[in-house]
Amino acid sequence: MQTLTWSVMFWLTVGVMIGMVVGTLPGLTATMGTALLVPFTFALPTEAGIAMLGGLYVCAMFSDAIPAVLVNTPGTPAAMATAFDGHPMVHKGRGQEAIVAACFSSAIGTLFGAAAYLLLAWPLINIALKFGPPEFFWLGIFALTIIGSLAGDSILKGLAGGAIGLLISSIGISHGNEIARFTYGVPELRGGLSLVAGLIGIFAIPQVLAMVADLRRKEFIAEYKPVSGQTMATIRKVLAHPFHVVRSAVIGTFIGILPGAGSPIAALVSYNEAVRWSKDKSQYGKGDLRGVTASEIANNAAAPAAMIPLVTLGVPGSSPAAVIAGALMLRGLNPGPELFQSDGSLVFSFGWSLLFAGIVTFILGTLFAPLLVRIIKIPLRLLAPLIMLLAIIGAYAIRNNIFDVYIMLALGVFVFLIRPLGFHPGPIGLGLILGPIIEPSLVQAMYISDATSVWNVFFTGTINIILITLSVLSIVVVVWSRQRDRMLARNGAATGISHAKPDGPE
Amino acid sequence: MNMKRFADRDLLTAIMLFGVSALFSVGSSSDPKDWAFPLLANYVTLGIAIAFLAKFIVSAVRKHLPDLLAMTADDRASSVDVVVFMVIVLAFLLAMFRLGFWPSALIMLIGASLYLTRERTTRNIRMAIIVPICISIVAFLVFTQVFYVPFPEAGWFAG
Repeated sequence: MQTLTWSVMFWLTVGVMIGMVVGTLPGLTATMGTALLVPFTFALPTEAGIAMLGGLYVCAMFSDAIPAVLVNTPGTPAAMATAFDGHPMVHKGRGQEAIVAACFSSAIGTLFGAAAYLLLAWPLINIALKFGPPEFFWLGIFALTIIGSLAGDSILKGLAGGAIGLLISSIGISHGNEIARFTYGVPELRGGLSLVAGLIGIFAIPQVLAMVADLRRKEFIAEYKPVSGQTMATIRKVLAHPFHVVRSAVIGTFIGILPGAGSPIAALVSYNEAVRWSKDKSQYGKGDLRGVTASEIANNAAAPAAMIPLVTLGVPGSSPAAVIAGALMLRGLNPGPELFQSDGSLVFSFGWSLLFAGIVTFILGTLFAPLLVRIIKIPLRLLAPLIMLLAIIGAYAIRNNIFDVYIMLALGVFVFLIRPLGFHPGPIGLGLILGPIIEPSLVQAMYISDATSVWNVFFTGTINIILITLSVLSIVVVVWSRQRDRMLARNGAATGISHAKPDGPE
Repeated sequence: MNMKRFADRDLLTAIMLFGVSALFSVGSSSDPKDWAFPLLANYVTLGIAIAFLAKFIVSAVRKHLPDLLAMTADDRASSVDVVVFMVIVLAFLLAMFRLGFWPSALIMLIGASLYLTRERTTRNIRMAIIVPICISIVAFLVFTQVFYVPFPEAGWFAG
């Protein structure tokens, strides 16, 4: 319990506060924040330095929800699913509720993930080790079925959006024989598109342009009136769905353990499952609190869980975990089973610091929520140029490359132009995030299948069969519920009763 | 055929998807591992484009009411705002290599805020100048002094 020293708690809180800034600014990722912080941690004792990095990571996974909710621009890729329901809540005057729910859900997710780290690291890692390329491929396909929930009024347009996202993600050097694809002779495209710049382009730029287009109709994003007692009321609302909370936390923890999957996939799969298990699916994408909590619980549970493969096997579960591994190595500590034996107290101290980071994040988040939500009261004429500048800085800062800014703007204008045709940014962003997970897994599995057969590699094995069944089930449920809603709407129209029509994110 | 039909959402969707599909048309390689993934995604795009084109043709032949992409006078005025705003942003991207990132960012913020200010009261104009100055100073300090991001410097003032 070395974490409980005042020094460690102080530096943990400093890390959390820096994480608040890093997550809130689109383009600054938790990876970049932890990497920038590593040199400062050398002046601190090991426990305090690692706690500071952990605090930053955990808090960034919450604070990325702030721009996602308020201006429909995910602070990091992990908050994409949070925006699906968080931003429509703002339009309904429930911005503060959405921020408090995101904050409380993040705390629950972190506590769950940290508890798994402290208690179940070894049993969980044994399951994670069974995931090979074909399993990752099917996991990606399963996550892709979320398109059914995001497609809006046309599932075909949702599918097309997802396919466009996947195509964009395939720009650059191929994973097979390393040949250049879709680079059109532009050398900058050989390295592929920056995921962060792409997501900023898909989400932030159309939002900014929509703000400019709406200026003649409205002055602010939405009306906001502070509500007293909002925190406790929101906490009660979140806890009113205990099964939903536990399911999201379990999904987040498990996906967090899988190296390479990370918080964005955890949030998307959790959101998809929340929709699938829900009796009333019609409100998802239109401002359902459960959409925010599903995403935030999972992406925060994945953060401490991503440390489990690091401390048990020496394999980081996410990019920030890789930076933390580097920080440990620079101190002469080798993450992995060896660290458990040589410095077990540090391993557990880190687990406790992640757990406390969740609590500190909750305290700071709820304190600042009423202040943060006032962003929506900034006049659009000032807010639109400000978000544009932050988007440009964010896209540039990730690789210090101005070409990423051009790509971001081009994607943003493209998505803005196709929105009137009924396309939503969600499926395109989903394709962009899942492409880098699905394609390498597909190619690696194809290499394995050279030695055996495609059937053996892709369609045998318990995990493969479970994931294939879940994917098929997910598609069937979406098609069935859309048919049912359409039939209800038709019957309702005939009898004069109105029913919710299937629709995606606003 | 009525010319208005060319503004049909299904037709425009099909044209857009055909365009995307053409942009990502697959190259040649001896190994399918290089192209299997984009090929699958491209087939999905192409298939959906054909579906929307077929839907448009069937709808036109059966003389169903088209789902037109309509634009009101208000929408046209808003489109002009969007175009001018983007021009200001593009001018900023060009100017940053001459003036440096932060001075051109400040000019872009003030220019865009002033353009987007509809009610030109003294208070609003003052806000459109003071807020961008404050934002630029804070952003400059955060991104250069805390996160050490190396932004493009001024070409005109370089030795």
